[in-house]
Parts: sequence; C-alpha cells; structure tokens
Amino acid sequence: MAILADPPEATATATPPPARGRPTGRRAGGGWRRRLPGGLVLVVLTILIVLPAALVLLAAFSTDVPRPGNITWDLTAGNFAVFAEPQTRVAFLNSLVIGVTATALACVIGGALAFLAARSDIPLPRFVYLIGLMPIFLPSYVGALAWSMLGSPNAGLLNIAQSDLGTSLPLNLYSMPGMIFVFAVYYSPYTFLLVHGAMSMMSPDLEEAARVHGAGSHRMLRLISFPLATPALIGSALLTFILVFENFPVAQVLGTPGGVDTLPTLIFRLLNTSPSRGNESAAIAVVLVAVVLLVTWLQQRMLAKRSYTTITGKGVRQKKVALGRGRIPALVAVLAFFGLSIVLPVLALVVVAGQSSPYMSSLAQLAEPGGLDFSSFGDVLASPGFHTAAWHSVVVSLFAASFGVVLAFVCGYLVYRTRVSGRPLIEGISMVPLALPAVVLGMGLLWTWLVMPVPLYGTLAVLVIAFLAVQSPQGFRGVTASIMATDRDLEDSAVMLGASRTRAVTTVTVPLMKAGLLSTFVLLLMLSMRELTVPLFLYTSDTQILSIAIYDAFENGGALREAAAMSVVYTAFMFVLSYIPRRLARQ
Amino acid sequence: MDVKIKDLSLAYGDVAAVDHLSLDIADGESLVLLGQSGCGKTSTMRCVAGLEDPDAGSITIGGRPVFDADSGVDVAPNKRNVGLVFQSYAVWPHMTVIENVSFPLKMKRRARKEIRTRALETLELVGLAHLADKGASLLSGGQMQRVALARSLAMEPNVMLLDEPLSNLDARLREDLRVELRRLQLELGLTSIYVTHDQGEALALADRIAIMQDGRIAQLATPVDTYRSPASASIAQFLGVANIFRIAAPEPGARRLRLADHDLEVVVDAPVAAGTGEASVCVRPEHVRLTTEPAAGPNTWPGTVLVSVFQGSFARATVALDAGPTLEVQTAEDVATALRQHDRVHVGIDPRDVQVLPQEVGGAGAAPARPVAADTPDDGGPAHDRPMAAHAATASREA
Repeated sequence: MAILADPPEATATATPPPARGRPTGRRAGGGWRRRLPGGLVLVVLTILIVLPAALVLLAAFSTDVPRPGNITWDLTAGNFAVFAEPQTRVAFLNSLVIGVTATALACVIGGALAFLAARSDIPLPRFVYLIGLMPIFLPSYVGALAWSMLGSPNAGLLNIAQSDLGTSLPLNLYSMPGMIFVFAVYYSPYTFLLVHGAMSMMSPDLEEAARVHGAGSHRMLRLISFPLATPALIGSALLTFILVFENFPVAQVLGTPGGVDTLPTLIFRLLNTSPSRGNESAAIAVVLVAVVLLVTWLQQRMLAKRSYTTITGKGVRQKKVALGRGRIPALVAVLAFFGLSIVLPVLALVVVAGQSSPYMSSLAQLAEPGGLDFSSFGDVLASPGFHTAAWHSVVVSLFAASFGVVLAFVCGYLVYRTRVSGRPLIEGISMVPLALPAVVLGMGLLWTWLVMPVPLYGTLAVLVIAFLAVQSPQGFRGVTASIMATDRDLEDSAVMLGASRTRAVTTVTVPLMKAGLLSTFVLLLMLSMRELTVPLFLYTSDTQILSIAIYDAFENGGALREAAAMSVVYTAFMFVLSYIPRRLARQ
Repeated sequence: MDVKIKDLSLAYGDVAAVDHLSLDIADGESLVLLGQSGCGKTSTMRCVAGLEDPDAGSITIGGRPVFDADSGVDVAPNKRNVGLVFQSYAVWPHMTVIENVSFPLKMKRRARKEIRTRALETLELVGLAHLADKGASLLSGGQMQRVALARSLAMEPNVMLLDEPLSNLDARLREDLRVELRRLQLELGLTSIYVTHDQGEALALADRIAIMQDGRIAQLATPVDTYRSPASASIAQFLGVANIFRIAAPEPGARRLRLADHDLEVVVDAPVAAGTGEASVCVRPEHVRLTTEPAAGPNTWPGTVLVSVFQGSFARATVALDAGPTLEVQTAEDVATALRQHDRVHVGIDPRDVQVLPQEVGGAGAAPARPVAADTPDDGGPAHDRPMAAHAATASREA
C-alpha cells in the first residue's frame, strides 16, 4: 500500500498551478473545474504508465524486487555491477552492432524502394509501393520464426535445398548477420513510409526552380531532392534504431538458439533464471531506457533543426526520373526483396505446417505421396487451445482498442481543447511508453499488478490494462491528429447555438472525427493482436493469447507444425485487418 | 439588447490579450472592433460569447449579468443566447443546410413543424432556401457563410457576434455580402459586435468603430469621425494614411512644422495645441495634388516619380521629393497614366489636409517605435508584461 500513497502525491505536486499572470478579481469557484478533470486523468495515467516505470527504476536501485506487501526501500547502486560481467558487456555490444548495421541496411532498402516507388519510372509503381509497405504487416517475430525455419543451420529448408543442389553456402540465421538481415527486412517499411512521404509530397516547384536555375536532372536530385528528403531519412533511421535496439521477440527467436544475447533477451533471461536476478535485469533495463532516451532526444533535436516544409498539399504530379536501362534490373531487385520478405517466409510457414515428417533430408520428400499434409491446419483450427487463444486475443484486443480510443480521446481533448491544469503532464505521460522498451514496460507492469491490492493478475483484464499502457502513445497521436484536424469552431458554434458542451461533443465533434477515431481503433486493434513481449510477462496458462500461443508452440520445439499453421492463419488475419484502415482512408 | 462591458481583462499566460476594457453597446447598434491581428479584438468578442474565461471585469447583456469576476457569475455560452458567426464559417459538413440552420431551434426544443418553417424563413432571408436539403459540405464559401449567418439568425440572438466573417471570401463577394450584412442588421435591428482588421469593412458596417491596440480601445467614434480625425499617428497609419513624418517638438501655436528627419517645413491650418509631445504630420495619399507645372501656395515641392501604378478608377504614385522624403500619392487615373518613371513633378498639399497627431493615444510620444498605447492608469494593472514601455510612457501620461 505504501507504493500507492506515493505516486498520486507526486502527481499533485507536479501539477503546476495555472501559470497565468492573473490580475485581481479572479473567481474563487473556477479552481476545481480546471483541476478535477485533469487530476482524474492523471491518476489513471499514473497507475497505467508511471507506476510500472517507477517500479523498474526502484528495483534497479534496491536490493529486492517489488513483491505483494513488500516494497524494499534499501537503496543500492550494486545492481549495476552486472555491467562488469562479460555477458552483459557482450550483450550490450551485440545490441549496438545489430542496431547500427540493421538500421543502416533498413535505411538503404527502405530509401531505395521509396525512391523507386515515388520518383522513378519503374514499371508497376503501385505494386512496388505495396512491396515496400508489406513487411510492416507481418509481425516481426512471425518473420523471424519463418526465417528460422528457412535458415536454421541444420533443419532449415534453404539448407536442405542446398544439400539437394550440392551447394554449401554457410547459411545460418541463428547468428548476428542473420538477425541483422531479418531486422533490416522487417523494419525497412518505416524508412520506406517516411521517405516516400517526403519524396511524393515534395513540391515540384522546388525541383523546377533547380532546373530553371541551371541544374541537370542528376544535379537536381543530388543537390535538391535528396537533401530535402534527409530529415525524413534521419528521422526514420533513429526510429528504426530504437525499434531494433529494444526488440525482444526477433532476438529471442533467432539469437537465443545461437547463443547471441542482446540487452532485451538478457533482461528476460536474468529475470527468468533461478534464482531470479530481477534487480540486475532492472538495472540493465534502466540503461536500455537511457540509450533509447538519448537517441529520442537526438532525433527531436535533429528534426527540430532541420524542418524543411516540403509539403504543399497541392498533390501535384512530379516528373518521374528516368531509370533508362536500369528499369528492369531495378524491378528484378524489388521482386527479389518481395521474395525474401514475404514470399519465401510465408511459403516456409505453409511447407512446415504441411510437412508430415519432422525429419527431412531432401526437399524431394515433400513431393512424395503423403509428404505434404495440410490436415495440420484443420487440426489447429479445430483445437480447443487455438480457439481459446484466438478468442482471448479478440476479446483482449477489442477491449484494449476501445478503451484505448476512449482514453486517448479524453486525454487529447483535455490537452488540445481545454485549459485544465496539468495538460503538458497528460501529454507527456501518454507519450512515455515510446521511450520504454516493451521488455521494460512488461517487467514493470508485471510487478505493478502483482503488488496492486486488486486481484487482476492472471486475468484477461490485466492484459487489457497492459495494452492500454503500451499503446497509449499511438492512440494519443492518432486521436490528437484527428482532433487537431477538426476545427474547434465547429464545436464552439454548436455551444453558441445553445447546445451544452457534452451535447456539442457528441453531436458535432465525435461524428466529424469518426474516420480518425475508427482508424485509430483499428490501429490499436492490430497492435494488440501482434504484441508479444508485454503479454509474455503477464500471461498465465489460463490467459493465453494468439501471439503467445504461437511463441509457446515454437519455443517448446515439439509443436513446430502447429506453430507454423497458426502463424499462417494469424498472418492472413493480420493482412485482412491491415486492409481496413487503408480502405477507411480512401473514403 | 444592449451590452455593457466593464473593466474586462483576459491574459494568456503573461500576455494581456484584453486589458481593462470598458465598452457600452446600445440596443440595435452595430459596433465594429477594428484592429490589427493580436490586438485583442477577437478575444474581447469571445469573452462576450463566453468562450473565454476572463480574469477580471463584468459583462451584462440586456441588463442580465452573464459574467462578473467579483460575484463569480459566469453564464455558460449556450445559456447566453448570443449568436456567433465564425471566420471559418463552422458550418457542419456532416449535416444538410437545413439541419445546420435547425440546430439552434432544436436546442430550444421548438415543435418540429415550427423548426422547419422558421429555418426555411431564415434561409429565405439570406437567399438560400433553394439549397435547404443540400449537404453543407457541397456549398461554396459565400454560401457557407450565408448558412452560418442564417444559423445564428435562427436562434434570434440577443446579440450577434461576427468574427471576420468575410475575410475568407474573394474581394467581389466580400463587397456584396458586406452590403447585405448591413441591410440585415438594420432591418432586424440586431445588436451586433463585428470584428475585423479591414478598415473598409469597418467604415461600411459600423454605427461606431472601436479601434483596438494592445488589448485596449484606442479610439471610439463614428465611421466618419474615425476616418476624418484619427486619434494618433499609429491609428492613422492603420487606416491607410500613408504619409506620416515625425516632426521636431513644435512650439505651441506654431503653424510651420519642421520634419524631424528631413530638411522640410510643413504648413498646417490649425495651430499646434500646447502640450503636444513628439508628434507626426499625417497626410492621406488622396489629399496630395500632383502637377507637372510648378504650383503656387504653401506646401508645394518639386520631386521625381519613382513608380506609378494604375489601379482602375485611380492610380497611385510614389514621389521622391528633392528635399528628401518620399510621398505616396493617389490621383485620378488620367493624371497618373501619363506619368513615367523619373518624370519631374510637383506636389501640393492643402494645409487643411495636414493633421498633426501624437504618435500614440495617450500622448506617449517618448517612445515612438514601441506600441505603448496600452499605458494604463496606475491601477495596479499588470505591468510585468511590458517592462520597458512602462517607464517610457509614464512621463507623458495624462489619462
């Protein structure tokens, strides 16, 4: 209970008094109206987000992890001695190397695809666009799973193919290069999207001005077009680095079998060794967060300095850059990327799901009668385990997405449409989870809901709460973008015409924001469906969800076929889900 | 209904948007708040609407207090029965025209039949009855503004507020709607507060114009008086008086005034009053005569045409006087179209058309470069937000 008494108090003091140089004659009654709504929301956000983060910080500096009825206040810096251990230093180094190289590769892939799709005369530009975007819809750990089936050193399908063909290229995905490859492929869409946005929205006037002033098309690209896209490229590079650096599932699937630790997997491993070394993993978590914060700060600084307004909103067609003889080779390269990112992995999942014999020495075995048997799909779809997990996933995701949109709307409305006190704090806390790697947040949420004197741990409700916390930045951003795009005069005019504020919000603001709210809802739904790391800390055998079920089936080795079959079903579902927002956007 | 604003103050953080402003608007009067962006005109209007939370002062509408900081009265905006036409129109795109106009009547819980009749009547008034069932998002800008107007008229407001309602429209439409607005206002006897930064609009629509600077009213007068005798050089400049020259501190009673920055004397008609601090002479461009032959009389000078532009019914030229200053001249188009660049010309100004005005209202001539119009009586008003202007202005303060 001691833990509960502290944070709300901190909230109250941190809520700044209205910083207005008010002259005399201020009304006495107005105070609570400004404080109450903000205060209530801050209490909710504190429990959701601040408390878990605070517990991780506390654990990093104390001698024991938080347990029910027992919060240790014996502070020590001794936990950071874990960084003297070789395994920690190696993990740290691995994380950095993987982060930097995968980011560089992802930027090259994403940037090149973006240029080809947006500005070149490559054949089938719309298809190229889809290829650039598609990997984002495949949860990265499904991609990792599929690639481990393709490229594990012994049983990998590609290696079996090699022995069939008599080649012996060293192909081992359970390695640093393997991880870098998978990260680069599945995180390239972030660069692709941002750079594509910058390049296709770029005002053609800027380029035409360069032509008028005497630049040829090469010099124009080099001196004007590419520099104008650099803020997007830098922004996406730093974002990609953060995502790779804090990623747990891919590192767990591909790194752990090969003995390659990264900071997130090390945190997870230390927490789950026996005896558990929770305090030390909390110490590593704090360092992980520090690095992420540093990079985020860098990103903010760089982007603040170089804001090139390239967007004109005119949507004018730009001139395409002629690739000449490179047109076809460029398309072939794009198709090769499509093969590596989507076709091969999905094919591998299908083959493994249908592979009747777990031991295979030649791909020819698949062609033998009975070699491929897709009854596993039927088995999986009919199995009660799958039903329960899928049902749980749907229920948890629906609740998390609905509550998430409501919470984000309340927060966004208070921040951007009212003058309640504590608005900067509401926005700040809503965005905090961006800087908290999923492993760290998962750990914090686990401790929070173990300590909380409400019996939520081990229920689906705790997963909903966890998703609310994890996805609050995405929800907040989505909803506030939509709030800001809706002119506030539209709501004020309803009030002037006699409607109460609540009535004005429900009859004017919400209906006008329908599309924005709906697409935020679908986004949160998708994120909830694919989230693996956080529920990994919080699930119990009674509250398995789909992502956990797949991970479980794969980790426990024996159920590779089920894992693959579930992955295929799951991926198909995600693709359908991902189609909805684009459909909505087109309306 | 009449509106009384007393000692109203509103601050955003440390910036005073409205600064101890008092204003009475009579029943049926059209008052225009005129000023540059950021002068507090929209904030003042939004306080009357109830959309801002003033820090001090009181507002009564038709004798009913709707806001009073001292007694804690603060009537919610939806209970004030005040109409507001937004600059952005704020017509709801997800409703039809008639649904928009019916909204206030629905809020008043009128019978369904009455709502439709009233809404159609009001649409008739603004000439849009034929579009009643069209989706509001399909309208043009001018039509949207008419819908916004009809929507506010339908509620039979005690006061009608209009926030730069014409500024998003193109010039031609703006002039048509301007006339129509004035007609409606007079016909319906609406008490209205109209906010604009366009002097032409203000002159056309107002019974009285309140010119705002730095959150206070710098001048309150009829359109004719405002146009003929602006209260200060900065107001004159805002009203389009393009020729403003600082003069060296004049002797009281003097009729020949020497410019501060040029070697030139200007003759004025009325002797300069005693106590005029630093001041400027101001001449409207249309009061400058332009001849090719040397002219006789006071205030005639030779000069060279820098540029001359044809503007239809009139033409405008910039003339550099040999003595130094540059004059803006507006003349009949036939005179100016004959002008070429570098032509030698002569300009003349009737002494009656020269006004000697203090730099700012309140006689704060000591700091001409700064907007010090907001210098206040010493009533403990927030001085922290303009630390330097305060002491510069104290010396010559008179109010």
